Amino acid sequence: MYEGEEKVKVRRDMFCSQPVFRLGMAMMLSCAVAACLTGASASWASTKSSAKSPSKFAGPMQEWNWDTAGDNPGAHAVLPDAIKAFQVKYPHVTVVNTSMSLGEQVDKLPLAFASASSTPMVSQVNQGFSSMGRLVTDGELLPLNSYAKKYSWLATIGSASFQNDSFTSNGKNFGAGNIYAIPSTADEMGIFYNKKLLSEVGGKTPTSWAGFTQDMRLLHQHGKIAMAFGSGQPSDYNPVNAFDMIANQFVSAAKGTAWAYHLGAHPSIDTAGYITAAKTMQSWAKDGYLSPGYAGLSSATAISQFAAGKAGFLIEGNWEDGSVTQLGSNVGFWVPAVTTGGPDEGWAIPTHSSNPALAVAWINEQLVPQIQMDQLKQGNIPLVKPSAAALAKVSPLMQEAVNGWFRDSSRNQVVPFLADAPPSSFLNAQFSGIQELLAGQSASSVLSSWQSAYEAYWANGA
Amino acid sequence: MVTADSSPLGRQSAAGGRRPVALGRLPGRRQVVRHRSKRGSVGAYVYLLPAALMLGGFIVYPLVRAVQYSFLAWDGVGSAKFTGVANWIRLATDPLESAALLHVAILFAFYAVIPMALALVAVGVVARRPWKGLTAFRAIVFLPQVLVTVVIAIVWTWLLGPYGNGSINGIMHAIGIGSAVGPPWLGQFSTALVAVGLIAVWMQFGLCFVLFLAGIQRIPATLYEAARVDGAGAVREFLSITVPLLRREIGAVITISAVTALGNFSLIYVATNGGPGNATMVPGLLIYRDAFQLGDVGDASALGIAIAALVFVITFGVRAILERKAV
Repeated sequence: MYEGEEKVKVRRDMFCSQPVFRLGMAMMLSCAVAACLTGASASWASTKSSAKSPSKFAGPMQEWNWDTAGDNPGAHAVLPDAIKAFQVKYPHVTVVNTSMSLGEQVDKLPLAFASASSTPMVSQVNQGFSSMGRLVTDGELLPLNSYAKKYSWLATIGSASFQNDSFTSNGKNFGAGNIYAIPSTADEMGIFYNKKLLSEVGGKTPTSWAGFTQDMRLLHQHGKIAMAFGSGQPSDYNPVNAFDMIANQFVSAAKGTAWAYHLGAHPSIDTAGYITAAKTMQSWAKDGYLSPGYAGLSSATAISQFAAGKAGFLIEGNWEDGSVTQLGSNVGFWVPAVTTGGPDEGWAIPTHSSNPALAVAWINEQLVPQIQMDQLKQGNIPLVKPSAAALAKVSPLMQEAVNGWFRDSSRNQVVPFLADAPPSSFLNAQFSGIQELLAGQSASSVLSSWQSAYEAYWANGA
Repeated sequence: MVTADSSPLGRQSAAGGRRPVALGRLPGRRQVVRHRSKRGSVGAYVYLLPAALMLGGFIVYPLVRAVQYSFLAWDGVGSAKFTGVANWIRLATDPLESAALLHVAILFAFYAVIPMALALVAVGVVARRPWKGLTAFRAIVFLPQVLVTVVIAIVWTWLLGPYGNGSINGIMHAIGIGSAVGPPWLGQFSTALVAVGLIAVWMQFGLCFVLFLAGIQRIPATLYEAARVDGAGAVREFLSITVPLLRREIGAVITISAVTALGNFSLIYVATNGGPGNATMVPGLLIYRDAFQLGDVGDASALGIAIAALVFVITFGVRAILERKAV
């Protein structure tokens, strides 16, 4: 046993002997007993009633999330309401909120979760090998299977929603094993379009990939920017998201999902479908469809360009709904029949959380109807399907996003983000590989290098 | 006249501190001197203790631990596994790590050679006669040294963007050169490393200039006067007097610049994040990615140790070649 392992063990031992831990365990036990007595069911009423007595929780509760105004404006807007509602329900608890970017999460969580003194009580954790995989490997997250069962979370939002938040206990296999986080909203890639620009060039609202590419051609022919795109800044997600979206049009959802979760015999990304997708992306760059100077623009600039009405299309996630509101009724969101996405970052409980029972109460609260409705109002897709009446009250943009999610997810046509697959360096490889692709590198060589790294992981790392 | 023995500091002062004090040889003083020497040495160690503790705690100990980590497969939190020299073999064979070392070698020219050459020429020019506004110029060119590198990187990212008011492309377009959307200097494979290098030149020029200016002020004016009497022109003065007598400052610049170039992280991280592709990848960024993003502390440590060794080699090499011969 090396030093790192010893430290974790010692810290765990020290922590387990603390009164607060024993109190937390007692609370969890009483939660379990209460859940058994009341009987778990799929209804909202049971979810609410299973929460513990408010008076039993007191003190500060640290929760960490990625809901920054820049990265996730909709969820950022919901946070104050969620915190207020929780503090009303648990009047002796003060929620201490910390929001950070995805990059900060990747850097910070593994070290912060290693110690009881630096870990929050509950935190959102990104899916995939580079984030959740590391935390699970090091035993830094509590498996939530029993809580999910006790609080009816599986029934409430559907068991399929948990695959992206599942890992085997050794952290080696994604999409199987224990549940380590509970999501409350969904993320889905789609194509934002500018109705006014499309009508100016004689284009139509996209309903098919062929129609969409025809619209791009029209926009370009009329001297407009067909696709807002930026790949020039560190850690730009826009090109990665766009590649995933294009790939879905040439590769079946089943194959894409199998590659991400390493299912079946010899899953591969070095196939004709993915190569066609890569060549399509290259042709967009070569034909001048992408934002001029895209190689020196950030994703944020590309989004701003679209929001300012300067581009016809933008491939991005529904979480950018809040970033394009200035287009008003001129903006639409088309979700193709196969898309990329999955549940948003779920809420996880660090192993060293000082009060797992309170953390469970917080997670439970994120799934109550009021917060789910707030998520919808602020531009997020709630994992609990809203009623037709509730949906009618939100913007057409949101209606398209929500309908697209429930349609595609119910048919298993939502493919996980490719970057969630191993090895943990795959996201960096995707960032640099797409830049090489757009600069003229052959599609097959880029995909071949990705596949080699993937196979090396499964040959040596798994 | 003060001789070596009659000086209060004995021969030490006369010999420039390179020879031991010879007071113990004086008759009748041996015992006293020994006593003083012993007490003095103990006192010296006490005085050295805080520095030794700091160096030991913050330099030597981490260095030793980093060497230890370089033989492990460890993500920084969980259990570690001894892997022998696997991380070192990877360091020698991984194309990305080799590319990063090559990039840093190229960047060294931008961090040290080019700004040093420019500063030497600038100092050579200003040394020949008094210039109005020299103090203000010195303060302005030194400004990048006091600015946070992240701020510099962000500003230059704007300046080197494909378009925009105030950007280099925008200015060129305004004066009739190029189109409204120019090359993304930091986003093109062909220009990214050079663009980052030019930012480094801008950052380092002020340091070189100020150091050389300070150095040139201690060169006796009589040397220049004598050279002029002998018919030397500006170029001869520069090559025969200025450059040789600034050898100590040149050594300092090379050492500082080598450390800055090899440890380069903030500028690359903010301006390009190693891209496009891996065209501007440097060891500092790889170390950060390995240690914090990918959980490969062993590989990060091996690379860190290699960089530290390179810094030592360059520093001692520079000292050996330049500073010992310096005037």
